Amino acid sequence: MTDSINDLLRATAGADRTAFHALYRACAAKMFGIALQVCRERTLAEDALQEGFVEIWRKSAQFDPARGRAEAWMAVIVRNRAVDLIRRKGRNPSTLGDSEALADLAAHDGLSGREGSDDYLALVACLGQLREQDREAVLLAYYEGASREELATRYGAPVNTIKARLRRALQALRMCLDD
Amino acid sequence: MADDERDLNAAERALGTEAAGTENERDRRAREGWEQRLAPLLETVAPVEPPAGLYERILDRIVIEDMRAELTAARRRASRWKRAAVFAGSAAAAIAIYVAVEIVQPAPAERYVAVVRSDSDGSPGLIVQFDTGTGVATIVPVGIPVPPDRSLEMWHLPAGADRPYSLGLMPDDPNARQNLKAGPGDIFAVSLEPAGGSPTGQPTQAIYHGRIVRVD
Repeated sequence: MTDSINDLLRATAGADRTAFHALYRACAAKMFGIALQVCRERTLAEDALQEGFVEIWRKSAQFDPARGRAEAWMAVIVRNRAVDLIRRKGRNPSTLGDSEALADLAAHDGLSGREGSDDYLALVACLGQLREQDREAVLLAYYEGASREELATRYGAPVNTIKARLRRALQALRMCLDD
Repeated sequence: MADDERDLNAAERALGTEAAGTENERDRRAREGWEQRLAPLLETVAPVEPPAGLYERILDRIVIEDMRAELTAARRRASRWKRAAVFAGSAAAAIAIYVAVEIVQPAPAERYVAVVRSDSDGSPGLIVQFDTGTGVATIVPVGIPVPPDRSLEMWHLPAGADRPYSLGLMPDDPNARQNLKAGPGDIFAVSLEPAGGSPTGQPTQAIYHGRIVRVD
């Protein structure tokens, strides 16, 4: 499956619309799940998916299979488009923090029973070593596109404190992952 | 800037808590490295089926963006040539009409575009554009292969109508129409006909379809 998605993305880079359509059929549900995870609203998520696939079409030639899987490359594009969109259009701040993906990882209970790629398990293990609030702040930013200001409101802390917290967490993650 | 600070800025751009801004090559690589580090978090997000019709919206957006880019370039050329240049080639002719229309009426009230696409592979065959401000429609053939001894005919099905009416045979070059009024919900189509056009006044075999969408 991974190979075929790589092949479809490579064919898309040659402006092959049939391959692009097949790529959409293979990945749209996964990508829409990601857009919805970030946006928390269907209409916004549809726009994010649309913008994401337009970007995938335009940038497909830049995909380098030596640097990762095609699906992960596409997922990052869609996730980033979704974050841009909620920054531009705003969203209901009361939905922040209510997603399952977030709750699952924020209340970290180790790796037992978790499934995923080696990279996923390594990342979860490293997240597990962070202080709980640091971990939650990183996950809120990643999964729900929370801004520093939104995090500051949530934690009742100054924006600079949030910035320092995020950086401390990212620094610790880098050390753990690069070990 | 210290390397560590620089890498953390890249990390925050990947996370989205720091605005994207402009990046040099090194900062871009650092940000992409972080995007890759964090991407495994997306593996476990549950898939959700997107609504039907979204793929068509994506294709429409791509075609409309391409057309806008071409139009912007053409407008630049047109002003450089003081609107008096001779245009060659079909795309340029379409653009000339479009630019002329824009000069007459610089602020169209509503602009609609239909990208009429192949039912079999989604490739565009015809673009119909309509400005309510000018009342002028532009028809741009993109190039549909046509078998020998057959003709292509264009059709317009206004919203709510039960039968399409013919817009005539597919022209070789783009042209402007004063008498074509289009609006939300309209459908355009192209059919494959015996040489000379439909013998019945209705499409024989419609092979391309497209719904009009408002673009701005």
